[in-house]
Amino acid sequence: MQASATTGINEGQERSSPPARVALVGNPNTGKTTLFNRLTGLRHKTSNFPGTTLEARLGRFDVARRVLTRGGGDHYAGQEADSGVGVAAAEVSVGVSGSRVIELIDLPGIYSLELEVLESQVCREALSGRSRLGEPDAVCVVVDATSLSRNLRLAGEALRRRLPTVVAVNMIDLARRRGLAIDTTKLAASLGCAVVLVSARTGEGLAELRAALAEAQVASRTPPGDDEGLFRWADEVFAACASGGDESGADTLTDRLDRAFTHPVLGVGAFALIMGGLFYTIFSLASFPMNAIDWIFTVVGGGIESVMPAGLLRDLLVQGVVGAVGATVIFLPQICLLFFMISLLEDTGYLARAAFVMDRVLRPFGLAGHSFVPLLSSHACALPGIMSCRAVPDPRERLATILVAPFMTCAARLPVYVLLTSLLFPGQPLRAALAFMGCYALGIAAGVGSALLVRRTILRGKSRPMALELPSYKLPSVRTALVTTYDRGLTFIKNAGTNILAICIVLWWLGSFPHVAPPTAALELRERAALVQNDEPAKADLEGQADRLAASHGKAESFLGQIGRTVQPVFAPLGFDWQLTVGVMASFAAREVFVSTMSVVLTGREEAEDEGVFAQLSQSRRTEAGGGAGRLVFDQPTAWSLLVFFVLAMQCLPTLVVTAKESGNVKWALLQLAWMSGVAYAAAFLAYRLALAFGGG
Amino acid sequence: MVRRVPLAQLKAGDIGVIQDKRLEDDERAMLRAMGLACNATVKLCRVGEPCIVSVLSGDASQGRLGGECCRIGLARSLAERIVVEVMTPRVWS
Repeated sequence: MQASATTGINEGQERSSPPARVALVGNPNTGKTTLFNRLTGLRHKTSNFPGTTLEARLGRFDVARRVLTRGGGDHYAGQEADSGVGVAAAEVSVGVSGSRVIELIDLPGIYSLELEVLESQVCREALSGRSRLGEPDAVCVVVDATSLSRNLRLAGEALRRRLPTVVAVNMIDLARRRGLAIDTTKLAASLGCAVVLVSARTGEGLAELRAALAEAQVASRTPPGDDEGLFRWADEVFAACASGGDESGADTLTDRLDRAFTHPVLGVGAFALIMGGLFYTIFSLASFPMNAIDWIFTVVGGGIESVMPAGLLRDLLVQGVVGAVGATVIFLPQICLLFFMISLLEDTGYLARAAFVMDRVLRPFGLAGHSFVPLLSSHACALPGIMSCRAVPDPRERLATILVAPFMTCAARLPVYVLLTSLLFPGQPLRAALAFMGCYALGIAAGVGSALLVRRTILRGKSRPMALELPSYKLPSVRTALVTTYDRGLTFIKNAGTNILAICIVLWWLGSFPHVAPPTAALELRERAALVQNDEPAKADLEGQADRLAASHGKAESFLGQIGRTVQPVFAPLGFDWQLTVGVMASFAAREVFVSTMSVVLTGREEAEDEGVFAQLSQSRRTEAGGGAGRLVFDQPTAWSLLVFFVLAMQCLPTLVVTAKESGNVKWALLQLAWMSGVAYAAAFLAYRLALAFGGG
Repeated sequence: MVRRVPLAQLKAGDIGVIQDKRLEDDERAMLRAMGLACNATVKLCRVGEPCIVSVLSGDASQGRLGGECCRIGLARSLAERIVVEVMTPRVWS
């Protein structure tokens, strides 16, 4: 290499200079994201490309200083000989500034810059400086060493852009195992730019890659400008620089695994087993941290209550803020575990095969095979399910999946199912279990039916037949899974957490104000308790009754209670009285509050799991003429109507927030709310009328 | 004798060279970018739905075949519209 400067490239650069910006491009499945994670560690942030739901990840890393000397070889500070770096003969006068910090932009994986798909468009805009990220100072093209001939086409397209470029040949460890040899010097000479052999998995070559990126230069050659010429060029470069590998592509193990995993029977069986194991693991492991979080926030709330004087501020802190933060953080274990496990599974190469298996099942409903994991995830919680819809490639299929995901029965509905099936089938566990399964089936049927309707109307369009690259099978990277989990968890906390906090505080306020005086009956009980001498249990019992009456009265007279009374005529056709309406209105923000709200409204106590409380709930009577005074609150037809309503209704404001975010427009969230509310209302009405007709209540 | 058939009609293990793709423009462009370009050499790994093909490096018509470049799963409806020239063993042995 001709060195033309005696001064170091980094000399004279202020540490406060803006960092050089390098765009990372590459085909899907080249390990680009793994490389990004290795280079930047946790020093990155995630946002969206403007106007899209595609992720833009920006990270930073430091580069060691480099010193050049005239006439001799280059000395890389701290670098060993035979580093695997091939540098083209070029002047060192043009390139990235010698900044010590480099900012890396992880662009979406694409097969070509020239395709008319969103990902390619975003990459074109980013490389030409038309995105808000600004024009990059350099490009790093990540190519897969085991698939070099195809990857070189994208490298050629990037080189045509005449930006300083470095080519990182990733998965070099895998290539060596397959007997592939790549002549780095010839490859660098053919491409006209620096080439570095790396393995993001093992860390090989990363230091050299950092150094090469700091000194990236415009290539000394330009590949052909037409497609046919580019393809021929890529094949010629590959033929000149690579050798070895299996003849005739024989890989019997991969063939056998592919045949098994995509078999119409074996494939479905394998999928059921793997997904069952995955979700069982998530459910069983998540319960420990969730219980711990619950305990921690109970302790914190109790601590605040014990040190602060009673009053508005204490109530706001304990019931509003602590309650809200706890309600947000409690989702984290499931979200983190889900994304951790899915990242591992995806890294093995299995999920691409599974997408084909499920495509057969979901295609008739206008959904893609990729939709299965989000829909299955939504059975735990719709939030991470909707977030994982980013893996669905077709935008219409992705949006349809987002819209119908909340129909899947999530964990928050389970306490409601338990309460209502116990009321419907007391002492009949088999029938209660069948009703439970029926709820799951109804949710799935409503979801796929809605998807079919949406894909035939507002999201009409041909479904793209599936064509998917099947990556090599390999052991998953725990490091990559951990970084993905950290990313997703942080995104959830930032996006949904702030909204959940606001929602919970508003709910608390509506349920706590206005403060009203305790009812006469509660005052009389307190007077009687004050007169009790030498009988603490009896005194405590009277005071407990007074507290419960006051709590129940307070909830009934709060803004939430008033809203319930006002809105009750809307729900009257479903058999709901004003007390049930209060519970349903409260649970529109979060389903899980229904049971505790009903418990407080009807009994003055929150612990609905308590047997005594459950008995009180089941025997509670309606109080107003309009709702049929004297009738059971939870009579049979009403219980059926409630059950169907809760299966189908959109009762989770955090999910709506994430829908708006992931779909890119709040109108989709509003449509989701309107459609699910309409379907739930109509189905609950039908259930109520049928139950009345067949002799219930 | 040159035999040209849809990709979906190959048997597992057959090797062919892509001749023509009777596809929509955007489908053709995407598959081309993924590696299923005209004159690409492919080996059929799995018949049916999905159809799994291995794209091979090298040039079967010149008798030089390399290792697997990439592996692609295709819906049968796509595989039925891709025409390949079947390579008999004597052509590249």
